[in-house]
Amino acid sequence: MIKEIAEYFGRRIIRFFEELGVMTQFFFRTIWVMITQPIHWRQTIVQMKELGTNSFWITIITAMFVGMAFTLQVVREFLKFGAGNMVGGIVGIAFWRELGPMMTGVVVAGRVGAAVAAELGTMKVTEQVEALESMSQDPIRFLVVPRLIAVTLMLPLLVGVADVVGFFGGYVIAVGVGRINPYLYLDSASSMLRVGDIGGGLLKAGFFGFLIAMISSYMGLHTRSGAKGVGEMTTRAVVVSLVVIFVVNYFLSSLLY
Amino acid sequence: MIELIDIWKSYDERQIIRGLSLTVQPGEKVSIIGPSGCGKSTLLRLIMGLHRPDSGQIIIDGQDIVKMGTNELKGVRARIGILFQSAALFDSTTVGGNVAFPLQESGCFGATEIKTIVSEKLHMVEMAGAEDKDPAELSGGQRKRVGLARALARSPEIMLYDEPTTGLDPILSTNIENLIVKLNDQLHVTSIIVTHQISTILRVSDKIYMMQDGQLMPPESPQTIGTAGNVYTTFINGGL
Repeated sequence: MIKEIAEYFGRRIIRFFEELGVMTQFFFRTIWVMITQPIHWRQTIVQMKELGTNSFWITIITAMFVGMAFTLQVVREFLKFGAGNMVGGIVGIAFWRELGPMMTGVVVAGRVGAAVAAELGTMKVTEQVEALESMSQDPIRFLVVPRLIAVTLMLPLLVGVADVVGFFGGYVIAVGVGRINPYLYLDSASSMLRVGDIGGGLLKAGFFGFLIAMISSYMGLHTRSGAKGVGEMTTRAVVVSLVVIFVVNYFLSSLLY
Repeated sequence: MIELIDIWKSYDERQIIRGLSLTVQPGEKVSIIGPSGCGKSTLLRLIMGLHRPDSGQIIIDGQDIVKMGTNELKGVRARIGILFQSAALFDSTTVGGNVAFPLQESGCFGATEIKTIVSEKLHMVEMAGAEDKDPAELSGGQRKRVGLARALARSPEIMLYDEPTTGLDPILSTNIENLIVKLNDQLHVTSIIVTHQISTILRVSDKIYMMQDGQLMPPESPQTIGTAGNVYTTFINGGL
């Protein structure tokens, strides 16, 4: 009995490290291809449109309501302590440093991560990836690098939009519900918010975009066994991306702020 | 000429090919038959350089592709076309985009030339005027034809067919078989066809090999296969 349990866990651990090894290899190969081979800009632009632009509205709606909900909680508590003049600054800092990058990262991991993993997974199981290779096209150069660049560049832009929209959502609630002076809301934000807060948030977004694209592409290109495999890898891509974003966010926040 | 010498290949500790050797002369049409999962498709992928054997040599026109790097392989692959079992059309582009893809990516052709070649290849596979169609709109047989047009886009000297007629009705199968024969006659390409379909084997092959236990049995011809009284005859009669 004990031997069987030990064997089971042993196998799981070996499999985990094997996959980690393959993933690391994939990561370095992608970086190598990115550095040494010409970038497929036509594909990159297509992907920027597909993956970035199409996430625009969902990001705006989510940011608006997160900003409103967050401010609703903050404004009530701050008013109790007579600190209503600080609400704008707190909402600004919270959004630019944490909420904007995290929230957009989660939205993009769900929408874009799933789309990338499902598309590449389907291409893999329907022999399209092999067809590319048979035409001497490196799937990493043709499929992965454009998605990697597209998501890495588009996520900071989306985060920038989300920050502005979320801050505006907070403004609506602070002024409309909390009866805070609009001038005080904006003034506290401009005095408390620093360039480092904005830059740090955008830098985090770039990291998140890179990780989401890398993880989802890996999962997609390592799909096996038909439609079931595509579904499994798509779910894994989203779950792993989300967990990695949360973990990396903590370490980046510790380093940056 | 294509020569495979003592090829061994395994996946996940499962030995698929065991010391296989094969010679295909220029312009020859060779069919490879055998039970499902015996490694027929793997063989095509090895010839295309998509997979590497564990050991052995794959010599195409005097060059061992096993020892080649990615850049050298590009030159060899440009001379080989492959029709995948699922046709493997890119869903993200049109029929015309699919056929134009290898030409565009080679960087050797101008836009006008590409348009002409695409139109010519689609005409060749009896899909003229389908350039703007979406692959999702096509039937199984039409997808295979477009896949064939794409494989032929760069006028390959060698054509590999992976189950070209599997899953098609008898009329469509006959159409595809006719196309293979026609292309071989017109373009004099060397063809290797992996298939289960008896009609395809009999109609398009000069030589037929049976793959069993990771090796090829001595070949038969379409004329002798039915009366050979060996494993080939058993296969033809549905016994394998």
